Amino acid sequence: MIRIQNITKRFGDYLALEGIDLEIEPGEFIALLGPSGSGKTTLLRIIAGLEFQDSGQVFFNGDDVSERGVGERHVGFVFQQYALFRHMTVAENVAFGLSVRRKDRPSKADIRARAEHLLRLVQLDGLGHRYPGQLSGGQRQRVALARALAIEPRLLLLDEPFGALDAKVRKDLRRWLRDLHKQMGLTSIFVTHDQEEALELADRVVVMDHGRIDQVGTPEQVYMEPATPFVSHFVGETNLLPSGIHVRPHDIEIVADGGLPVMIDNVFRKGGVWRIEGTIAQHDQVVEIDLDASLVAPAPGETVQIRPRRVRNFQE
Amino acid sequence: MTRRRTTTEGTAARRLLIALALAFLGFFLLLPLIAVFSEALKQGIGPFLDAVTSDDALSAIRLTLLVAAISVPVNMVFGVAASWAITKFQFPGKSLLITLIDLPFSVSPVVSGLIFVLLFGAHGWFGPWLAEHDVKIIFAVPGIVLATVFITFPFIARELIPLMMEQGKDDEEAAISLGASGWQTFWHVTLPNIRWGLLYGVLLCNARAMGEFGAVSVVSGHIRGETNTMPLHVEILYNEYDFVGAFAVASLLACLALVTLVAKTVLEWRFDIHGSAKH
Repeated sequence: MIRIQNITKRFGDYLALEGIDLEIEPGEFIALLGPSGSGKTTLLRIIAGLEFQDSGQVFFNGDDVSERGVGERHVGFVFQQYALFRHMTVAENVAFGLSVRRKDRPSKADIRARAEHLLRLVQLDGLGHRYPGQLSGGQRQRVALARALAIEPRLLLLDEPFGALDAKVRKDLRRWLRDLHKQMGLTSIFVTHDQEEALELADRVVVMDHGRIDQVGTPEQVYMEPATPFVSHFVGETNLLPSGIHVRPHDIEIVADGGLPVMIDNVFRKGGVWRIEGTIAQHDQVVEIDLDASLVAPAPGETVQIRPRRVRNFQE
Repeated sequence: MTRRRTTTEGTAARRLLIALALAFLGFFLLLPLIAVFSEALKQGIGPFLDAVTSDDALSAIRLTLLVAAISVPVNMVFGVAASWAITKFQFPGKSLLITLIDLPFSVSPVVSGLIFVLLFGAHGWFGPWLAEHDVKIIFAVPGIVLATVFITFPFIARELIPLMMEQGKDDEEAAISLGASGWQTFWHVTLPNIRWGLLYGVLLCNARAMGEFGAVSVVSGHIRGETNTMPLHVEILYNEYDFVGAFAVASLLACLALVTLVAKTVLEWRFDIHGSAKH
């Protein structure tokens, strides 16, 4: 189990993390989700031992590792830009963690066998003799993953693992990583600013903003029951209606009368729904509505009445 | 289909610029190079060979090689250490260190030589103490080495700092996270990443170490067969109206320059290929 206790970190005058507490169960897949500057990467680097907290502690299975560097924490870290060693072949990259061992170094044959096994695991068998420069982005990502797994880490940390990939590759790799996690059961934490990624992959999502944790919960919880206005806006889309009501676009229905009058500005097809953009007449406030595509959409210029089906109020 | 040029004055201006550049290079570089070799070989190959194999010339060549053999490795270690410190760590006084590394570029070489005379000369700060212990620095080989190290130390660091800055520290962090020691990380990750830049710096550093005149002239004392490097030897021969001898030794230095140029071109070519293949 990973326990993070009251971590605070400053960079000069800038408060990057403030009083962070978090517990992670063995085998969990955790997403640190937040906008840039929320402190998510700093937190990941502190858990790794690449960065050190100003105060607070990090425990791995009850062991206080707060003062230990990354080399002693036995974690696998996958860098955003992969940080593959470009003068080494793919197989040498994967074997690096084993071949630099000073004690209990496996034999050359064992190291080679282990590297081959890992390359098979990440579906890159046969590419061991290539150089990183000869691989695609998605392949490099998997080499980085295999290299991190080679040292049999007790924890896998991934910094924006899909950030540098194009949309299609990202989606495939996402599904693949989820399956791999299920198969290996290795406790994993990844950083992302993409809420879709976090909701799809993680067992639990940690939503961060301005160096604090706003909410920790299952994807279902952070989406359906956001704890703060920030979470509500950052995870999924939210309309802020007059009198401080927060409502998702798909939780709004169009009614015959008795609703809030909205002037329709724009209507377009968004996947399986109509996305309607309108303005609340009296408040000059923009509102987005998703309407089942089987219904007839209102035309731009029309005025309709809307009613929220499901709302959230936040005590400010 | 006719393609319109974005600059209509293109052809004429371009030709003029190229002609200007070529004329400039011809006058300042090619002509002197030809002059050096033609003067050296004016009386045939015999006097040329006599001049470069005389005892004094051989001793000057030996001393020049010795000085380069000491100062280049010293600056290699210093350059790598300084660039490593500057690019991978945050510490107070960092910008001051960067400025100090540039100092030899901004100070006249003669002044650099004088600094060492002031420190280690007979009337210098450490002069009496050195005399007492019978250590000779000024007007001896150690002084020449010191002056050369000082003059050439920016070359390697200047080459490596931007390179290492651009590469960042992800690779090093990755190596450490995989359990490598600091030394293993340096040897297996950092050094291969910077090897072409390092070689390039070493090349420039070496060319300057062998060719330095001003600072070395101040601390050398011009003792024939003892403290004369090749550039100093050229000057002495020239002042003695031994033009064939002077140009013969000078032609060796010119050859060094040409070799450096070729090696530099080859390195730049390798460097480029490597640069585009990264990540």
